Amino acid sequence: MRIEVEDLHKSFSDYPALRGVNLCVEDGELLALLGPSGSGKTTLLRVIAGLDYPERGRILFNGRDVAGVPVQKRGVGFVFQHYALFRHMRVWKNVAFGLEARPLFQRPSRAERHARAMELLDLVQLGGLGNRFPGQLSGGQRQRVALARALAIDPAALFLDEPFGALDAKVRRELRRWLRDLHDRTGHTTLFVTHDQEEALELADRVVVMRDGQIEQIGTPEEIFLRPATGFVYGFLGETNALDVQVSGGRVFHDGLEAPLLEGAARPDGPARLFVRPAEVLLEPVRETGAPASGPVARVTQVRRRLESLHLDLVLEATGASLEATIGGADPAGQPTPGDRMTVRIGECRLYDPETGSPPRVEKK
Amino acid sequence: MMAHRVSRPPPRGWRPPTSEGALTRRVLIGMTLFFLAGLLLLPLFVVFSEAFSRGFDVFRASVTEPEALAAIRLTLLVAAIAVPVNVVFGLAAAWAAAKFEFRGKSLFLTLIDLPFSVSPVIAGLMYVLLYGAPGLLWPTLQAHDIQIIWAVPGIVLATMFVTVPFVARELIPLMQEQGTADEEAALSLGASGWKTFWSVTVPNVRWALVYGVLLCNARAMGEFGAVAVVSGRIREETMTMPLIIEALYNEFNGVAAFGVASLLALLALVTLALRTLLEWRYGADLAGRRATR
Amino acid sequence: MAHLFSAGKRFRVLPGFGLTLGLSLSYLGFLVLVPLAAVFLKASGLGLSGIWDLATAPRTLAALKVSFGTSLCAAFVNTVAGTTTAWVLVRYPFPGRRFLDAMVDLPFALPTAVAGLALATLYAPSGFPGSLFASGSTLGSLFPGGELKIAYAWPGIVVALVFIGLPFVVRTVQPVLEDLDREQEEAAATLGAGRLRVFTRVILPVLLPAMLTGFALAFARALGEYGSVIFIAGNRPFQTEIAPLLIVTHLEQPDYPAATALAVVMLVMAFAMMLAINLLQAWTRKRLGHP
Repeated sequence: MRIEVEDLHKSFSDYPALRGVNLCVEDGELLALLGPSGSGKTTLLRVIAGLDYPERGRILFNGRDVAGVPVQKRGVGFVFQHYALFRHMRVWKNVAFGLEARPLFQRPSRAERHARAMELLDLVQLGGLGNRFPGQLSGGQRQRVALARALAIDPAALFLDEPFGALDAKVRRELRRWLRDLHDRTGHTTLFVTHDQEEALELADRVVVMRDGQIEQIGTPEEIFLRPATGFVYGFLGETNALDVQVSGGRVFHDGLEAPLLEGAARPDGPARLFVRPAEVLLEPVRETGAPASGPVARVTQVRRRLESLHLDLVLEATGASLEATIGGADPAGQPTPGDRMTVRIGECRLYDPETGSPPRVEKK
Repeated sequence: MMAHRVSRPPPRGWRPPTSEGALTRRVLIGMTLFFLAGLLLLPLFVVFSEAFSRGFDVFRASVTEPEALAAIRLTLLVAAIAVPVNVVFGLAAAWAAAKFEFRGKSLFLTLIDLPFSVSPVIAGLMYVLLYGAPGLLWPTLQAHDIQIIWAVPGIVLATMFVTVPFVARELIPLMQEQGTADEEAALSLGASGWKTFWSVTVPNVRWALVYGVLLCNARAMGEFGAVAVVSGRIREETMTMPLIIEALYNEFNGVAAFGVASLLALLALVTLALRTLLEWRYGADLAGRRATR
Repeated sequence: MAHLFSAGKRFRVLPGFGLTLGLSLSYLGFLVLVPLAAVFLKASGLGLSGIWDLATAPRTLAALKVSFGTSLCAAFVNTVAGTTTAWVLVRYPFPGRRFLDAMVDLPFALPTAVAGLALATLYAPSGFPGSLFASGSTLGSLFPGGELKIAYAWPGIVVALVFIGLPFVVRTVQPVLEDLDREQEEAAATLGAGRLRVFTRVILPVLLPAMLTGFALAFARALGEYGSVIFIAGNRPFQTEIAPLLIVTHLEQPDYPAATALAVVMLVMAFAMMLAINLLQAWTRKRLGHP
């Protein structure tokens, strides 16, 4: 099913959760809604499913406006973050619930319902657990029961809200691959919400990055990762340093530095914001020869060990701006220590407009 | 940013998934209001309207009669004994049950709850069969000229029995929840056990304690069945307020009966108001039970 | 006894275990256990057949029948009305909700004698709403005999018992409703279930144990209730005489064996109810055990 969303607005009391969202999901597509908490991604999913209603805008299922269609009739399978299984029903009864809820004349017999439930449990690799109660299953198993239950109504589309949010890292990675397989086999149009960048990039055909109730970028994982449209997207996809800079004739200056940070930037003159990953902050120890350094100099303030690298906090001597850098840390000799002076070179980096390039908001989950 | 936004109504046909239709909702609210008004508010209203039906002076006269005054005094005296005794018991029982693990604890807790499930009439009967004329201890008590049944001590005993669980029930879940870390910290800092109890444990449970005392007091002043059995109904001697209400009612002295009843109803209202206030302000300190509201 | 309540061998940091447990047990023993034992001791003097004869005397049986019938009726009304009340209080915002919520506890706080006095006045043929059903009224003419007698008759007892039992059901069901997982209802809706089906298949099964517990609590309380009933019941032997009242009547005669026998029967029933409630709650915890 093809889903179109036009200019969707929704607010809770005075807090705007969606501010003009436009989106088109192609039939059979696996789409990720990615963003920090509070970005409106779950609200968008709920509004499209019919669990909430939009204040403005249209939602089209295969070209048909579904504004007045209640959730019961939209025919979308919804998997909740905490599964929302019916604890007092056996697993197979949970799966068969959607069949049992059909109008009397379209309702399959009990035997048919049972058979269909068992079939779906096999599909999610839980054959044999049909007579258990949800309380007797592990988190990953419950997640798959919830999925089987949603699939039982032959949904026109499948919606998953943080499907792996409550699982531990290992189960999460397994289920991720498994969900991709399942999608490829069943071909449902699938939307899922996540705040995990890796999950979105690995699983989805296309990724929608959201922020403050608006869409920042829509694209394939490659596009999103390699060509982030805004500084926010760039920042959301990994650790980032952000510096206020001035571009002048292709040369990029950081305030207070005489030498350019960068040359040959393809940008019009004016203020900009430079984003660079810590791994692309290239360092070289300053040799105490008296000769002027070949670039801006930073002082190491802290050195922290990561698994296969060292993480350095630095302060640019000329301006006091702070920088983070990661360097290979396998070699115990020649490791920097706090107080060391380093020449900084900027490697692979990006320049954005100062306004769209403001650093990502830090939010607590 | 829009300064003021009025939430738009949902589109026609759309229904919130976890709510009933407006009609169902209104019918249910209406039925509940009707039911609660008839069952709870109407009786409360009639108590006060009847009490003041002949004017304030008649009301005042009816509650300042010697009999009524004696009943008020006795009721206050009984509560003044039963409530503190049950506070001491409640604190002791809660300390033992909440801070320690021991065999037979569930039996102990059942025992504390037992008075809730015994009919008050049977509670009274128990004391008659123990201390009264047919009782085992009757000869001994007679020999020492001690009167328990058909006297104030019996009324106090019966009241204590029916109010046993109130304070303990409020304290035990809360103290269990709080654990023993605070007390252990105080002890490790050199405080004595007694000092720890008074300066750590009691302050931690003070609102639950107040709550329990309120309920205990309301029941102590209002108990009817158990007291009726052991009282003997001697005028101006063993008549508590609830008993005098019944006596006046049977004498067809409705205004006087409602006069005394209005005092007890006022006590109930004050109790309800105070406990609602407590739940409002200190809900989280009241054993978590109703803390979510 | 000493063995039963002995603490484990573990080392204890906190003092006062012996003191507080000893104090509590002595108090409970003095106030509860010894008097209770006195009843059973007295009853044992009658012998089982003696108790049986006394408990099956026509007047006793009639009183037990009245007590059981009215208590069952009241507990049933309470379960339906109490669950509805809890539902409305939890789910629907309306003006005065907080006030009503607080008022639900009135039967706990209002002395039973006051409640009985007020209800008897209201539901007597001269009171309102009692007059609505009195002889000659429109509503009354709907009933056989031309009136529905509430006070001084069976329905009056039920009214009093509904009053005192209401908070038990509301306060048992209310927390369960508050903790109810709204996502389960949403999930059922996405699966196509209408509101009625969601209620009967998703909400009610979760609510049912609490409703049963509330029913049992209200029923147990109603069986033993005395104060509020005697005002409104009329107290005619074989018709509106409840079992607790018969105990009092026996005591006043005084007929101690008859009072004791009836008391023992009622105590056994009360303990059975208590056991049933405990088993019910244990079963519920097990069945709906949180993961």
